[in-house]
Amino acid sequence: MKRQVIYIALAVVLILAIITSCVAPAAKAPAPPKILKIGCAMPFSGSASLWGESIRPVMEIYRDLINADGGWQVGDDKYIIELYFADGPIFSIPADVAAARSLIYDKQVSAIVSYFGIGYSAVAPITTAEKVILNSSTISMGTFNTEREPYSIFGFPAVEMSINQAMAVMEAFPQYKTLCWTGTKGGNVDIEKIYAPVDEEIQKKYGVRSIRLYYPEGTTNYTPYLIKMAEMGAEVLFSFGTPLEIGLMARQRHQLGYKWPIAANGAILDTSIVKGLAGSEEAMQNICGDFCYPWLLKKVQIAPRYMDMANRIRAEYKSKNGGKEPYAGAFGVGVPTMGHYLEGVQMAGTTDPDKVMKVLRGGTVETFLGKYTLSGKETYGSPVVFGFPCAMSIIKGNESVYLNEEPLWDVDHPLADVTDLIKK
Amino acid sequence: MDKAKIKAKLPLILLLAFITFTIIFPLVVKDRFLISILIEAGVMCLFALGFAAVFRSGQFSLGQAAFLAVGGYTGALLASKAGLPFWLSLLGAGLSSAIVAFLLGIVILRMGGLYFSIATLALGEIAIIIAKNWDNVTSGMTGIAVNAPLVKIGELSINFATTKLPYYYIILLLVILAALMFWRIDRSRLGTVVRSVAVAPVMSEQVGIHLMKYRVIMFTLAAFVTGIAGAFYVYYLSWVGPPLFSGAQSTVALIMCVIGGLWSAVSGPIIGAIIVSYFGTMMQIHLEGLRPLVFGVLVIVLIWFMPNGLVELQYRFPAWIKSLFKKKGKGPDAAA
Amino acid sequence: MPPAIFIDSLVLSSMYILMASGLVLVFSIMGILNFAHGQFYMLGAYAIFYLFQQAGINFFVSLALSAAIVGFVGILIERYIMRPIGQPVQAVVITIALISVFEGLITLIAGPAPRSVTSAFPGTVSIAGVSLSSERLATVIIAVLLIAALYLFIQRTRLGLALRAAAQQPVAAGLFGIQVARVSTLVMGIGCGLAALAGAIMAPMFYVDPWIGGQPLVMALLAIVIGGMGSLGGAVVGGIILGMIGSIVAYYIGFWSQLISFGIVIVILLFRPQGLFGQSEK
Repeated sequence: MKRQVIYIALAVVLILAIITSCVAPAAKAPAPPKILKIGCAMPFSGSASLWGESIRPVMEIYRDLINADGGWQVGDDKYIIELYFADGPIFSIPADVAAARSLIYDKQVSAIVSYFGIGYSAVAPITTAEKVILNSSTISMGTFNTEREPYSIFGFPAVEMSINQAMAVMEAFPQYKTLCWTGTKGGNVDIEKIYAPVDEEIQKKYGVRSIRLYYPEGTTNYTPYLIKMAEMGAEVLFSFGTPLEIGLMARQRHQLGYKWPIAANGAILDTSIVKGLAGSEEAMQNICGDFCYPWLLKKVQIAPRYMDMANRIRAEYKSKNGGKEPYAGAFGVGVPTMGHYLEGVQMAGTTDPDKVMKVLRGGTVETFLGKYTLSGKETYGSPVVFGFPCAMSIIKGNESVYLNEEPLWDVDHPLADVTDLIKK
Repeated sequence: MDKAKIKAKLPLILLLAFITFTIIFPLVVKDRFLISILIEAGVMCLFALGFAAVFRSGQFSLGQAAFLAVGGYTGALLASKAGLPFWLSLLGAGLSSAIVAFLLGIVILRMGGLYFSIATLALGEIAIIIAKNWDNVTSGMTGIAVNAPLVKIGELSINFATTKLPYYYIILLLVILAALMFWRIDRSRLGTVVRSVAVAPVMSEQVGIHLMKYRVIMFTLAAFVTGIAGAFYVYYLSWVGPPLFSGAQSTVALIMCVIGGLWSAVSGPIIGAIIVSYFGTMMQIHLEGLRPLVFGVLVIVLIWFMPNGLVELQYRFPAWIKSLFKKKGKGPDAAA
Repeated sequence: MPPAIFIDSLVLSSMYILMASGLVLVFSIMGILNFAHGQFYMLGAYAIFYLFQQAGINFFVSLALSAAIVGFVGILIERYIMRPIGQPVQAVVITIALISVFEGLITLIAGPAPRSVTSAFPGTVSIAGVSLSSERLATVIIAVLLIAALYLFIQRTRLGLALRAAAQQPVAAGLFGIQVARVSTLVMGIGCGLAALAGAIMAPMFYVDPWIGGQPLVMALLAIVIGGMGSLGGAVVGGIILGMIGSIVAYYIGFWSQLISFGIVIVILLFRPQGLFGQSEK
């Protein structure tokens, strides 16, 4: 009898010991001074891992170059940058949240950058509570409330930049007059009605007719929709879909005999991958996507130190990867958003989050993609959204080449944003 | 005291020790990441308990995530639009889930086991589709943000926004309450009847037991608990939206209960939920891309060696330790 | 209705019918729903990628090989992983866990990047003045042939008869000299092979990555619910209905087609849970 008690007690203690030992040692040796820890929650598992794996190495090179230069100047000190990555599969919000938590509680980062998942609303409360600056895409910022979330900035205005992106494409194809907006649609929102004023503005300013045809989430067979689009007279498509959706759509439109340019909101992955999705080199022609290489931008002025650094990153990446160019998206979402935070810290002269936010909010900041004054006061209650060059590339042959730019300067511009209209 | 009495009270002693441990734990171990994992594990415990309760009555509900969603959205709406305080929102969420379960249950529980399961599967999917599309109520993909509650107890005010610790204790309390409730039901006459409905429906009917009544009771109770879990989870995340509830989630409840042990009403689901939740998150953080493979293989291996769940360990473990000691004691020819 | 939409609905139906038939067969052997069925679709797609796209083996030979290889994998899984587990609940959980295992394994072996299978039937043909994609036409024709072959095999051959007997009354069949175990193995192989064929013929129309098995599984489940769990004919009908909804209804109504698919399933479950062709379970 007694033995049983002992065994069971042993078992309980054993289990407790296992769980407790999995806990990182609470008392770390005091870290060497002047380290700036930056976190990044990106997808590294699942189908979206292609993005994460493409962006991570470029950000790591940026970190290495800064540290090789002695560190990042903040006030009188130079800070060594430590970069931490966590797997945030972006389509699983609890996982994104866990990733954010592990970065904040475990690694104790002072900022989380390059977040482009759909879980902003769930991640923000955590970052806010711990005064960690969150630099996210506007794609899931629907519930953003400036009073509740004073430590959020938006370095990738995915929603707002879409119109500029589309117009950049249309400008490059003056022979096309009809643009079909597509992507997944949530719900019984009457998109036509909501966007009617926007479509009017587009017609007035650019002479482009907008039609809209959306499909339910999870659709992989776009054929019925493509046929409908042809009937409606579409000449160019603009989609908010993932690279998978874009590639499939390109493939299926090619099978139906259509050759419309398809423009995507995000950057195009390596053309070998796109070819796999689209099915053939022929099918992937005229796919357009976000294209943010600083050294190729024409309509924005980039500060020499950022152009310099961009070229260094590019050279370093190419030397490590057999001459391949880094992923364009790494210069859209990855490296620039890191730069936003670093610039803010330098401008404030301190890592204190309140002071950094004071400088960033409504401030004018040099970035890898140009100089922007943060805007969004009218639309979001606080000027915390960066501008964007909205440069587009197009696939010609086997390559993705520069097409055109239509820079986004001000989020509050009526053509830039429709979130306000939806709220009304 | 004689040995028999101690032996009889042993489970209770251990249980109290375990509960004391869980209460003291976060005060000693300050790792906030671990605490946040445990809080989520707690939500999963409630979720698994709900699934187990339905299973107890002989049915597989593969759509429990639907009730998490109903509870979650109800809680969010009550908190943000109606401004109800924390506990009332939780209660309201539980009630709305229970009502939905009741209405659905009286219809779909009539079908045979397999059809019911598929119906719940479909319902789970439909709940998500409704969440995505019913913009006027659920705000579609944008979701609803919930402000962290501010609870005042006399002089003490706990601001939920700055620290997560109160959440830990609340979910601990909820899990204990739910576990108590289901355990008592299981031990009572109601539990016996429910089990007979599950194991021998034909005979039970002949004895005059109204099958549907008991199935519906368990289904509704399960939804009540699950609804509260959903609302709590939403408060914890400060947000609710369609991506939180996936079809895969409902099957996770099944996995948790099987791993924990299907034949126990309470300890099986709880153990399973904690293990799956904890190791699942740990693996994701440390393994990244390899996680699905490792997770799947582990589940298969666990089921192979312990088809009746980890709860079995409590019986096997003492015997195994005893056998170790016995071998050593046998003499030089038995040396390892 | 444009002819392209009609062909499109046939293409979708073909995939759903093949998947659903395979699932019905596997269900009749395993007694439980095999949630990993979609993974065989994915494996079939990878098989055709490696055999046809990479190694350049003739398309039809590749198809046959894909079916055979994946069918064999299915048999192995059933015998060595599933059979030792006596209880159905645990077996179901194992099939669910197998989904992660397959996805993870293939990610490890082939990588997460999507691959492409070039069409074996490029270009378009002109029929009655209408230009149709050769790939899609070919897919439909192949699928119809396969389904017809399956039907003939089950209804008209002795082996098929043995199969039906073993499925419905294993003990009695055994008494009549039918080797139930061997027949079961064959059926399992055929069931998984059908899923692989679905994946292989559809591969040129979509892409191939480790996660393509999820959606076909859901559609197969919906199809057999509509058609009836134990019925092959039901699988065909269910597949056709879903194909039409996914294509024709999507064309006319567009957005709500997804809800309609689920809605039909709910209606069937409410009023005729055994499906259109299933036997009533009481």
